[in-house]
Amino acid sequence: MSSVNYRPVNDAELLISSVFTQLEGSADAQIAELRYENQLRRFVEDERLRGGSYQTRGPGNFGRRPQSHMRPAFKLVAFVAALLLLGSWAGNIEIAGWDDGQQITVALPQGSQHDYMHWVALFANRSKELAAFGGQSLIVDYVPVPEGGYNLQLSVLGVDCSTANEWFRSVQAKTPELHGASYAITQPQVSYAVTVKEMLAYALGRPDAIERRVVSAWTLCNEPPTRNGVIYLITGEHDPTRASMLR
Amino acid sequence: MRKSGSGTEQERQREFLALLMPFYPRALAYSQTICGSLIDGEDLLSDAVLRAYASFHTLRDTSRFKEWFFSILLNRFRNLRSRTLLRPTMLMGDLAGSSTFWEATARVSGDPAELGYQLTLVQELLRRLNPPEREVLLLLGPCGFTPAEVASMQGSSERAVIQKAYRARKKLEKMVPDGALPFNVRSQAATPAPLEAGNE
Repeated sequence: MSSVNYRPVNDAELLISSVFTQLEGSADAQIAELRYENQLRRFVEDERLRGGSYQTRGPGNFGRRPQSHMRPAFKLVAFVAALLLLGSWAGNIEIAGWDDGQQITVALPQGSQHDYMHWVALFANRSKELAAFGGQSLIVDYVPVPEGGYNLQLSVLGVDCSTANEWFRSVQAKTPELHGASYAITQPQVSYAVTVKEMLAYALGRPDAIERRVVSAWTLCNEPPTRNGVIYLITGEHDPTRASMLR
Repeated sequence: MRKSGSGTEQERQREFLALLMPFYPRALAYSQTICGSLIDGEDLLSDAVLRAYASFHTLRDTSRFKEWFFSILLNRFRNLRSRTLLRPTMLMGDLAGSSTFWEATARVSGDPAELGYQLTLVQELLRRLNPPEREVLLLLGPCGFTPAEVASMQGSSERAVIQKAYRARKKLEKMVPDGALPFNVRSQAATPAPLEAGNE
């Protein structure tokens, strides 16, 4: 069976092989090694700081056989029991509202010719001003509306409603495409997952707040912090709560 | 057979990187090809590196490091992919609804000779294969694994791997008949050299 020829035989395979070779050729292993050295050092330090498995295992025990996995049925039972316990404990906890997350919904003019990337680029250019207002992150969404056309949804963290309004008005004044566009500011109503990478892609002047939140949430999940982890922005109707739950 | 991860933390890191770096370019190219994006590919690989390092002590035979690492890489990609599919609201930036793969390239570049154009085309082609077929095609072809190694990574048999590769090839042939590409792929394609045994 090993005599089967896996060289590319058709144009599509040749294309895949060619692209692969170009990508492979452009990889710089020396730079990557330095980067990974730092990354692994930080990873180990973080693990130790949070008292994770590195601290308890100790350097002398690395060859140790890992503990056996829990059976799925036990896992399920433990999970359900934990949910019940948590529910009974957390049932009476009141979560304070917060006012530093805003969603600005902008009705784009009918027949607007600009696509999503245009708006992302535009708001990326305006993001420093938001940082100056105290904003921490900005996520730009482009959502079709049933009546036709699109809404822009700007999810802003780190500013209160009036500051968000002030910032958006300043953007509107400088942006001809947004002149006369109607908008509304609410607490974030979307509830969806955003990867840390996507979120940090729009991170403004103070990413430390997001990173802290992300790292602490990861710690709760017993997961190493990575940029591909997912943040769930969870909101409620009466007591909107921003939860950064990562898996 | 040598066991991994004995000694101090620094020694452990050095050992890990010494095993990883010989095939780092290939792992990066694999990640970028399967993600269809240079940045996402780098992120996927970084993520897999941390995962692999965290469980490096479970690797019993360092001569099988490459196979072990690619298994972790495959799992990370599958997990992240299923998360994306489960995401209830798609960001419009993730538009992926082109009816033909030719249309998708127009969003990226108008020049068929550019890597961005070709990578998008590859991503669109691979997206039209089943995930196991896609993995098999890349692992057996450019990555240079043997069917037995791929079978052990995918938890299937050697015969099943070969059948998947055969099906994937037939599908690709049907999608892109010879001469249909807007550039001469045969002049630019070069089969990647297999990794030397000493480097693995």
